[in-house]
Amino acid sequence: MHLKRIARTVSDEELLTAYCQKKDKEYWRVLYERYMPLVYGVTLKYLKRPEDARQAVVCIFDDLMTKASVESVPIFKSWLYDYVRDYCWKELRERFADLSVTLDENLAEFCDGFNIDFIRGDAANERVLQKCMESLPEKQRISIRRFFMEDRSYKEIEDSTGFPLKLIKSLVQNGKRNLKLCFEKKEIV
Amino acid sequence: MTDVNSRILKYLRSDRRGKEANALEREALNDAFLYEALEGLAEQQREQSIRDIEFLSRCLKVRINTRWKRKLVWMGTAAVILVFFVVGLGIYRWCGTQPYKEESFVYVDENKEVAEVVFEHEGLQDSLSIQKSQVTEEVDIVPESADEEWESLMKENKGSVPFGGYKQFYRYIQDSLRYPEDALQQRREGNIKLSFYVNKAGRPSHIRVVKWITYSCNKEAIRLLCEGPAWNYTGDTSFVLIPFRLQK
Repeated sequence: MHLKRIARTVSDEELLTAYCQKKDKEYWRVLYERYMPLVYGVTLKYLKRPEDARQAVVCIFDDLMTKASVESVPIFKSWLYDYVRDYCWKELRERFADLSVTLDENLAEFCDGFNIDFIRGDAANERVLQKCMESLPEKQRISIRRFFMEDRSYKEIEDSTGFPLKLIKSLVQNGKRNLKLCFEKKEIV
Repeated sequence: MTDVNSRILKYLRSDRRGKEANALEREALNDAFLYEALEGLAEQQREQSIRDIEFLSRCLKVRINTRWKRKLVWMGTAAVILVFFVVGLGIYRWCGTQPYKEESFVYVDENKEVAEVVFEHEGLQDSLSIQKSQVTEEVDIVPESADEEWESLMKENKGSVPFGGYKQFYRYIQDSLRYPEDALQQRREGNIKLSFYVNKAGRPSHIRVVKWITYSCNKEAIRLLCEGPAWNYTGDTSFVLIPFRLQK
């Protein structure tokens, strides 16, 4: 369908507007499909079973298809993400009849704006960064180097270092946080 | 903007290795949605995830089509079936009403001269139609079984029999026969003997007058045979007597 060819260059919001105007469900489907694996992944994370995740993806597809034509949506991706988390939360609450169900909340720190690539673009900053690297614990330093400077994926780092996957993830995250703190200190100085 | 969908599929297919995998993971550090999704996907076999994502893609396509396109498909097939039905019915009716023309050649020898007359008539495909027309004069024309001519004809006739039997055939003759004016005036009567073949449609064809009375009576006899009931198909020549009897 011709829509597929255009779709690469059209923004989420433009696609959403087109759907609302033309009432053509194909527009909605193309838009949703862009993020469908994310929806699948998140529902899989909280609902655990693949069959539940699949069903959730379809339910959310249906729910939002009707909601989209009613609500005003400034940013599609965040709107979608919020709904997915909300959906998972409701599902878990129903399933476990446990009002104390919470989802992961420690994700805010990820969007900390500390962009290592950007920093490395500047020669002076690069030197500061290298200094900070040296102050990191060894495992963190290794992981950071492999991940950010050598462009290795978690799995590849696991292959080469033997560290378990979950550990590598936390090493990278903590290392990045430490670098940020160190960098900011150095900047002030 | 590169599709997150295809990037995730690539990520899974590459077994989470390579520069692009790293790029995706780096992006995830700044994108909570992506981060949580990758977390979820990490918990199961990548083949399962790939299968599910591909399945969901097909599922969603069908899902929007189901609503209205399926209705359209049903309506379309129903319409096509209806069209076929109507056309079939039309063809059937058309075959039924189509006049079936045939020529027959009447050899008349009134003055011992053979003349060829082309006589076109219309026969009916409908084998069970028996025409009733006004009888100009009451004539009693059912041949007696004691009739010599009749008996010899029956012996001769190895060919066809009319549908409904001879009784019904002669009842039809009695109802439909229009005694020609000139024969009435001249008080001419007798049996007209016709030979004919029956074609595959059950209609008499290649009718010949073997024994005649007058030209007009011959024509009338041929008309009666053509417009009468169907005969069963054999391959042989058939004979029939059309009696013309004046009322005494």
